[in-house]
Amino acid sequence: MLNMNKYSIVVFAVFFAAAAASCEDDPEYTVDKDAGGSDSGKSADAGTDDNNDAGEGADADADADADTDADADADADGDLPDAGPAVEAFVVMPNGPRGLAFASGYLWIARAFMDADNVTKFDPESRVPFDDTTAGHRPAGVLAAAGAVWVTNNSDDPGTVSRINPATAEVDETIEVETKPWGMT
Amino acid sequence: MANTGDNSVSRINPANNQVTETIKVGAGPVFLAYGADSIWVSNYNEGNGKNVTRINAVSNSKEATIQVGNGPSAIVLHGGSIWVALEGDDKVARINATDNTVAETIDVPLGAYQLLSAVDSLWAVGYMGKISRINTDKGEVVDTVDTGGRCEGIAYGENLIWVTDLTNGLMYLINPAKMAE
Repeated sequence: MLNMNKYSIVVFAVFFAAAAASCEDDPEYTVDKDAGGSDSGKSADAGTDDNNDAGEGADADADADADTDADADADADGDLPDAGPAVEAFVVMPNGPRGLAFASGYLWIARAFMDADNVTKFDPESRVPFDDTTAGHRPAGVLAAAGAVWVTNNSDDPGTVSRINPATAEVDETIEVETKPWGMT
Repeated sequence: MANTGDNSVSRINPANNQVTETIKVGAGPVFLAYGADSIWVSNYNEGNGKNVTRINAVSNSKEATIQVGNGPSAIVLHGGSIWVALEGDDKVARINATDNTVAETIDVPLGAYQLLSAVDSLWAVGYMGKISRINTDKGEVVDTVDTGGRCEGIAYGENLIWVTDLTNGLMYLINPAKMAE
């Protein structure tokens, strides 16, 4: 059994240098490079909490607001799941990570729980978060298009879309759309 | 983008960040995709039919409503065809863009909510964080990953499949080279 909090501290030391550029004060981000690839005794109890409502994700009425913040990181104090050998690593990404997309060499991840309401710019090579951009309420979908990162803010009223400049990680424009925007193309 | 609460899709001009068109579709549009000069919108809550709306991407006019099955959610372009996840049926369906009908379906026993086209495969995110790799040429699921969480987002990059786990606050890095094709 592997306690994630202890694990976080150990792994964070390894990645501290890379993380120092942007997130040195935030030890919540960790990477398990060995997860799944070796038998580290991890138990697969992730998702066994009573609040897990997998399979309801596409319920158009059960939007992000229907997910209680109590659901977020329900297993954060437990064990990492053993998801099999094809899963090379886990990244701890608290506060309800939802949609994600690659743009300008980075991975952009919407985080919707605990009023995080941001988009994390994540370096897929070093596997360290680079920056957080404040979006609207309950960001859901993420799209890379026209040289920008677009994020639907599902619980803004009315709904909005944030246009983020991937070079600066800043919101260039917030565009009002209709109620509960989600997917994009 | 799909406006789930307004039963509409909005078109934004990235040159000036203005909404240029808002088009009413079916009930509960969640996801949409571009292919065959059209926008395809999955209407998750649409009556008994559960359908997909086809919109002409040039004229913005609705061209067809296609009955696809129960709980159409994610919709993607894969292998030159439009594929839609049928969460209520545990299937994915391929839409024939020539006659606007379902040309084939593939069973996805572990569920299909979110979809990704990558590494010559169709990837489906299903119940309880189960990820299915689908070979659409073979018409079957060829491998699965069971994360045990509630996965939502899925993307491909750096030769890996990246999947977000909403409930557990994790992101999984899946190596497709270690899975059956």
